[in-house]
Amino acid sequence: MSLRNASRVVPVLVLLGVAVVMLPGKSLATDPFAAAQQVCKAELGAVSGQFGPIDAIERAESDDVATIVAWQEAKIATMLTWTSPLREIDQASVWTVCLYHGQFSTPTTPSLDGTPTPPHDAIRVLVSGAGQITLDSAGYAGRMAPETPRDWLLTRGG
Amino acid sequence: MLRHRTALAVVALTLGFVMFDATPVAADSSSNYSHAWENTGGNFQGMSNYRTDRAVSGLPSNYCSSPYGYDVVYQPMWFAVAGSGNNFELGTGHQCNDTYRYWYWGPSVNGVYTSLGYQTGISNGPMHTFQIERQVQGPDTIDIVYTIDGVTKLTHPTTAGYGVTLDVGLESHCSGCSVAWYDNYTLKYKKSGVWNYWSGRDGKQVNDPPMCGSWNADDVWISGQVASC
Repeated sequence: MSLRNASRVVPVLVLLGVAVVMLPGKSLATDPFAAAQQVCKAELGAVSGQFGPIDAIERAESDDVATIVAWQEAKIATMLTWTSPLREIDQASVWTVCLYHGQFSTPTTPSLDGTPTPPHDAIRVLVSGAGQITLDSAGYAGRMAPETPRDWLLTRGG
Repeated sequence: MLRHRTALAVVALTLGFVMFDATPVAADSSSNYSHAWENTGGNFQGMSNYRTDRAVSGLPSNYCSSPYGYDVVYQPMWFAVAGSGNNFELGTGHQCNDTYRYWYWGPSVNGVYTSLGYQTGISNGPMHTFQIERQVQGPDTIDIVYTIDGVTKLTHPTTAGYGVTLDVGLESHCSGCSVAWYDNYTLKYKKSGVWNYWSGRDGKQVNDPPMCGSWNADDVWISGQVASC
């Protein structure tokens, strides 16, 4: 983790810890994203080993494969129609979407005016129930919308 | 309730330290390119590039099991369509001391790259013809077709319009690497159903150093890294 990022994140988390003790809290058991966070945290090393250094988990969400497929296909539908290979597996099974922040060397697009092209700093992978990692996409933090299937469902009023 | 709040606090504090100890991010470095393009008139229906898969020296012996690793050198081509960061890409990737090589293809939509496939076991040396083509299949269907040596790697329908810029070259994410110069030969575009050679040397951009690049002819672009182009 870069010092810049650590200097932002760590104090926030420390304050969060203090605030939670002092304020009414909620049980971990009711947090729907806690389990997904654990999955993404567990796979952090493996993902980093495949794609590059990671300094944060930005989003973590578990959904049934049918929802993930619909989201995958919809988010690139402005340019192409593509059938996700996840259609070949049990659509009711649950996978986890992990969006990481770091530094990656996934294919970028050069400018035509000489403006430097920064490397991607966001990578999104899918993790099966058995821990299989599949690359979904990569890009720049803040420009990966819809970041997760639930974000996409919200735009559809779901 | 207090026990739960305390547990959550401990988790948050612990997470803070865990994240602080997460894998350090290397110093930021932009991608280095040697690339050239054709964009006069737009309305492109396809592009073609005849080149070798060039050996890369200096790649660390890591990222050896899957594409798009951190230490990588690409030989890409981009069929760019309207909209910033929108294109279809086809290329060769080199990783793991150049022992892990693959052809890859996929779109970038608003700068977000999605891998639609790849083929491993590629050998350096032989010449190949790389093509991306926008084919009208019927009144309501237009396909993007990625081919290498005439073999279709993927076909998928597209809602994108004609190509606006055709771009080829070398993209390096390895500052310590070197790539001997090589030709991107017989660069062609397809327009109105006809293939034509690039002309006019519309544009180029080279991050020099460490990259090099130059036109050898109107339809031949030379790329390299730590080489004399």
